[in-house]
Amino acid sequence: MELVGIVVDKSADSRRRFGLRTRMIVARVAQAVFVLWAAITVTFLAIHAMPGDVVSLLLGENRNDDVLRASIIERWGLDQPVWSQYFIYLMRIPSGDLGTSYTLRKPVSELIAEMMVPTFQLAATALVVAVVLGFLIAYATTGRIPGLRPATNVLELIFLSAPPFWIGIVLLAVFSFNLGWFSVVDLSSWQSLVLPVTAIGLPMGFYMAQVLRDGIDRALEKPFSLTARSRGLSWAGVRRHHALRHASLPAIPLIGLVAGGLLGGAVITETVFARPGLGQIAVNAVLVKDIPLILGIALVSTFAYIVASTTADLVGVLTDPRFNTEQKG
Amino acid sequence: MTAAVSERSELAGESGAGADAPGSITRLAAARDSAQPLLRVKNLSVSFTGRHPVDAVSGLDLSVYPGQTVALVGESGSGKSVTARTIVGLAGEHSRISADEFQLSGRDALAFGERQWQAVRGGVVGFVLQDALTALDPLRTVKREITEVLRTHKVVPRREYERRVLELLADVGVDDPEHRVNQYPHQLSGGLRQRALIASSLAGEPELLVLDEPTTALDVTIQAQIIELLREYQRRGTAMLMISHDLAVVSQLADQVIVMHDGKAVEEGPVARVLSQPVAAYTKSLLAAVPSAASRGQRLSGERINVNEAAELARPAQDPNWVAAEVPVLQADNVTRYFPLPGGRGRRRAVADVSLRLHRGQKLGIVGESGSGKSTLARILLGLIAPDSGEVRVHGESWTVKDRELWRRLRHSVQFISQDPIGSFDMRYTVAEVISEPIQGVLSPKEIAERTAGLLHIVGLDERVLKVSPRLLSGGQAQRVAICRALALRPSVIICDEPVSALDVSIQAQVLDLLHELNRATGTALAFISHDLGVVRHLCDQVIVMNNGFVVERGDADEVFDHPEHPYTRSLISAIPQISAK
Repeated sequence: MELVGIVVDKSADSRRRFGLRTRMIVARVAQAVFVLWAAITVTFLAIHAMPGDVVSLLLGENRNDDVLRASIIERWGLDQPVWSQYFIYLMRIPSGDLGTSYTLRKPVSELIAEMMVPTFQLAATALVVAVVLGFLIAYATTGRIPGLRPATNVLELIFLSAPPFWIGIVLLAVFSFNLGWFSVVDLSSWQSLVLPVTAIGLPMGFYMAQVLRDGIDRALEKPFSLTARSRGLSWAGVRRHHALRHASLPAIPLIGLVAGGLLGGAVITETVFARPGLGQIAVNAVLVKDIPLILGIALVSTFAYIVASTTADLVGVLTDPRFNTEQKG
Repeated sequence: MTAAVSERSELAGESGAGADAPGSITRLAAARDSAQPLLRVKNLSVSFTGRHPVDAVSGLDLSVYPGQTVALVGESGSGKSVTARTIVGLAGEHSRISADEFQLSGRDALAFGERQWQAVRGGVVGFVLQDALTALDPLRTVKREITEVLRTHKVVPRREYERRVLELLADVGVDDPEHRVNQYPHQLSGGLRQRALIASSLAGEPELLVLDEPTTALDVTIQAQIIELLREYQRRGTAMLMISHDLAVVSQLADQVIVMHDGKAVEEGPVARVLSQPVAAYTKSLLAAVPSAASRGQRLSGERINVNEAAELARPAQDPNWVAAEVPVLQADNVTRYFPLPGGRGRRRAVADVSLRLHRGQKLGIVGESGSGKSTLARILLGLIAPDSGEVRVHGESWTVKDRELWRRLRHSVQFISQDPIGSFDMRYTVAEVISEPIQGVLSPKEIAERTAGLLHIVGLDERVLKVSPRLLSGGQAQRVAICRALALRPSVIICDEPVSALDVSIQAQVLDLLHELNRATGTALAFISHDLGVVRHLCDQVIVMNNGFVVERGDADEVFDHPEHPYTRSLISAIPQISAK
């Protein structure tokens, strides 16, 4: 041990079983839990920082209903000291009890759960479209088809700079009102998904394509790509077997961020297409000042965001073998 | 072809026995007799069109016969790497290639389409790039990398991939192939990585192996192992075309050598003749520029400085408190520094109990392989990181001194030159700003301008570079600017960390001459860190040898190199390739 200059710290023995990868995962999950806690705390502080008394705030337009008022004081522990209120709040949220919307006279968790379904459908489909489109565009434009890349650049510029509601309105006007291909009225049919998914997925797909193409271009300039070509791989083969994987690494956390954002509700798209969803009830809740519902949606969107981005980061750590230091030798 | 394969696998077990195997000798002899070259190129020219049109290669003739090794030697920009890439049809998108004749394995390569090239690459010509850490895909295991060749060229049926990969790895001398095969490049040591890369280039059973700087990124002892491995394949009859800037490595491996300069062959012939009796002026200057024991005290290049001017402008600042000559300008006492190991597996001693003394005007060489702790030592000496125990003193004052004013003066008297000067410059500065940055606020603007111009003149740069961005400088110019910046504060000692490792041999010669002359003229001490023993032997009076953080040997440079006592020093010195015909 002395000779090779390595001193094994005895106290580190317990940590020795875990490699860099394991410790990164643990750290990332701990971070996520911390942010969740912080989000809950911030919403609690927000209620108390708002002007006016908390009870009237929560009741909204029902502020003169004495029975409700008494039950709220009971439920939120508003007759107790602030730290005790905070503790009650902190314990209640993880159990899924987000309070009651007194405007809609329904538990917030139930309202959100209902709206999660269409939001999740839209988000998941749009995400799949965006990722598939991103990979296809990136793969095609790094090939050697002349003129394809400049043409794609123009399309990218259009879709990335146009506001999403404008894309939505144009799609609606052309494909629904004029051509009548996709109805957006019957919400139970798959057809109603096509246009909103396009409105979200297309710009996102072009965005993904930019990130992926940049990654592919960089990987193709690396010496290992030259090695791969010197083995007789075709240009396409090098991209498929080597460059795409390298390009995916920075794209994975990006997918997580985009997914997190979408799960919180695509407010503008849902409004344009008059779709139910988290975004839409969020807008309504703000309009009628339904504070319990607003808080609930804020928390759920934050949770969705944290879960999605944490998952993406973990996938990233698991896909990159360079994080695995456990069997160095 | 199949016969050759089985022969190879039989030989795998007893490495080094190749020359005695009757099969390979007859095969080799037969190959040499046949007049048909594997590669024949006549009047090859490669130019690049596009924004910066360049004639990279012009009028090159090149033939490689079976069993022969030909080396292309030259400095950066000589066109040697472009030639290597052209031979596998990978010169690049904007290249224009013309040749009177271009035959590969008896076929006309000028008529090849992409499909034919793909069959040639890996199948007829194996290609080994410089640094296996970047030349192998970091996201793939060794197995997948080698299998890629087997699959592309359908060398063996799919069910035999695994067996063949293990065979290849064992053949290139990878111990415990069953374990290594599932590892990623970053998990392997430099030597194993290079072996794995060579195994992948041999997987397609090529007739010719093209090696682009196959040992340049390696430590000297690992380099010796890889040279030995390549010699083993030469004994078995593998033909090679190697690209190198290192004349010593070439003399160990090549039969024929072609010296390239500015895209043209300036000299060619058997390696023994070219290296011992060079005819072309360029070859002579290249050989004269190689630093070694013999070149000690002599100039390697035409570099000359104005001694009086240098003494005037860069003599160490004369602080009345620091005049005592017996106090070393730089002194380390039992310095130790630990770094945590990745994954929390304890800690590694990067620098272990190192003591050294550097007096005014001395040149101390610090040699060692990568991971020996020499760069960490440099940072400790510079006062950039604190040792965990021990102490560094500058002019007898410790870096831990509390007096800020005194600390600042210590800071001024120890300066630094790195391997990558361009990386140490702010790209938004002009060269003048880079050099004058340390003296801003110390002198008046007029004095700064005069001093900057004066310093630039000493290191032999034209005043016109003052206004340009550092990114436009060549490697040699950049290192001269770095030396200017280091001298600006009249330091007592300059710590140089691998200052010439990234330079071509002729530029390296100029920078070494410059450092030597500046040291003589000004009395500025040098702490010169290098992995290159030839360079240290040429330049330094004193030397310390580091291994795993410890100083294993120290003393007068001649004494240490001529009569090494520690086994590590001996292995290091014996691993240095010498210029001598193989």
